[in-house]
Amino acid sequence: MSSPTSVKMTPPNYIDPRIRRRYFWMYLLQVWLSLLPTALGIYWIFSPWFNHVLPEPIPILSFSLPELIARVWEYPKWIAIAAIPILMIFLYFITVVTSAMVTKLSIGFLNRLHKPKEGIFYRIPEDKDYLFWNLRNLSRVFLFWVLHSSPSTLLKKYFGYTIFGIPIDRSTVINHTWISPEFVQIGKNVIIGQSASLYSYQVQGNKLLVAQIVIEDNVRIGPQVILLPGIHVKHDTIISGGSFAHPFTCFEENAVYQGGPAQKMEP
Amino acid sequence: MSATTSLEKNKFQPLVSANLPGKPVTYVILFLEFWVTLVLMYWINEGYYSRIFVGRVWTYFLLPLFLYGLVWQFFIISTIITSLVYFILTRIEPPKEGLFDLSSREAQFYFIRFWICFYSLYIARAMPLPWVDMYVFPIFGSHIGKNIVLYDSWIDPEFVDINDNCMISLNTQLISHAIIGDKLYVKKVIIKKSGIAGAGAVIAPGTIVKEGAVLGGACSTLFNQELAPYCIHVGSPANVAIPIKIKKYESEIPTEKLPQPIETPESDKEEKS
Repeated sequence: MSSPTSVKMTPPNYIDPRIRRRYFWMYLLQVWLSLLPTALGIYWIFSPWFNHVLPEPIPILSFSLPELIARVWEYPKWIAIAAIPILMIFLYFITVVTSAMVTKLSIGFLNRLHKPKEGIFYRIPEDKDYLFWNLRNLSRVFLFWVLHSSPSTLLKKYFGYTIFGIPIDRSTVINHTWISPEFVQIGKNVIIGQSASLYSYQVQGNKLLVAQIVIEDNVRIGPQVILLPGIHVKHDTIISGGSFAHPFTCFEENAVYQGGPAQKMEP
Repeated sequence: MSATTSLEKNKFQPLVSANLPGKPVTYVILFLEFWVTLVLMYWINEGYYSRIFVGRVWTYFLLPLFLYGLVWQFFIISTIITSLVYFILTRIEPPKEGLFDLSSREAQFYFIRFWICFYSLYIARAMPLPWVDMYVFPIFGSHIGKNIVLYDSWIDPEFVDINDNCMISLNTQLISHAIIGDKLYVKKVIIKKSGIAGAGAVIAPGTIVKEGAVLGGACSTLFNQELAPYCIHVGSPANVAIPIKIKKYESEIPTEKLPQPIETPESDKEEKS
């Protein structure tokens, strides 16, 4: 069990190596910014552990949080020890929040420079649409790595998608799936199975196709289903496990689909 | 269409499966597990690490080994705690096969147990050695034989029986639970000796892969389907069987019952000859 390692990594977005090499500084800057509060927090919480390594603590952080807690409760030491797991979860949460904020800021900045668009673009860095599509994906890499490095699926739902304009309802289940974080629209009460992948882009020769995927309410999608750009799944449809479909197909409402390419079936 | 009638053998029924979000109880249990694990680790290591580094500079070179050991310590302690929690949960509500409502007690306990198993298996999969999870599956009641490959695939934690010399390829989905309408269906998946599932295949609940049977890559099986021994099965759903022609096994293939194999087109035959 557990999702395959390939699913555990970044969202399924291809990044051009030419652009990745040229703008790698952007990724490093993001990592630095989003780990800054966490690093300070680690130092603040665990500074008594570093005392024999580092001679003098930073003046502002001259006391640690366990010490503070111990002072308030007049020092039984076990309270400080018992707080450590909670503090670690808190640190992870802070990392998620800050990396989401940094990503949100950088994507907002990129969108100011160039508006995201659907369409067909040339796969050369001189094409502005292609360049900015890649940059947006590059700025999401660290956030998704942070989100996938814990067994929590709730954090991924809210900090990976809902913040960036893909509102995913509480009744919708997207655990252990691969969903493009752009140009996807998911309705209410949808169930998507394990390692199903929803790609809103496709590479065709020297061109890149980007089109929106629409999934309406009450849709059930099985495990290992592959949906390509431009696909429209209407309400109350079931797509059985292991099937895939060509780009720009439209799934009818109240139907059952199976096979590759998916065909209508009567159960 | 009633769900029970269409779950008979070799009838099409759409396969939808997902692990639904657990109740708040699940989060509380998982948090407590994590908390107990870390506090135990602190208690075990505190005295050791506070003494060993003082005044001995050469011990700093052992730090990588200590960190590696800590990772394994975390894995072992959390697995022991999870198995205890799982044991208690199965005493309250024993795991059952069958068709349940999503709101019923059995289904709710299935999801709680699922997330507890998932936590433990997630940690096992994050370990530096890829075969660690094979020692975790038997805790949750599934049988795992010897000489098995299942490194990068999805395997449900409960109701799985994998025998010796089996291969389960990359990204294969071996699923023992499915959502049919508003109901949860749980049935055991059995893979007998030297069965093979191809890359990206989907194995539906209740499937029995018999001795030496092969399921092709990116193919899917039907609910409660039996794959014939020493045959290659292809199609989505898998409805074509091609016997493997090895003299040793030919007597064991039930030739009468098999579906028709695909015939190679005549143009291909001419080219070869």
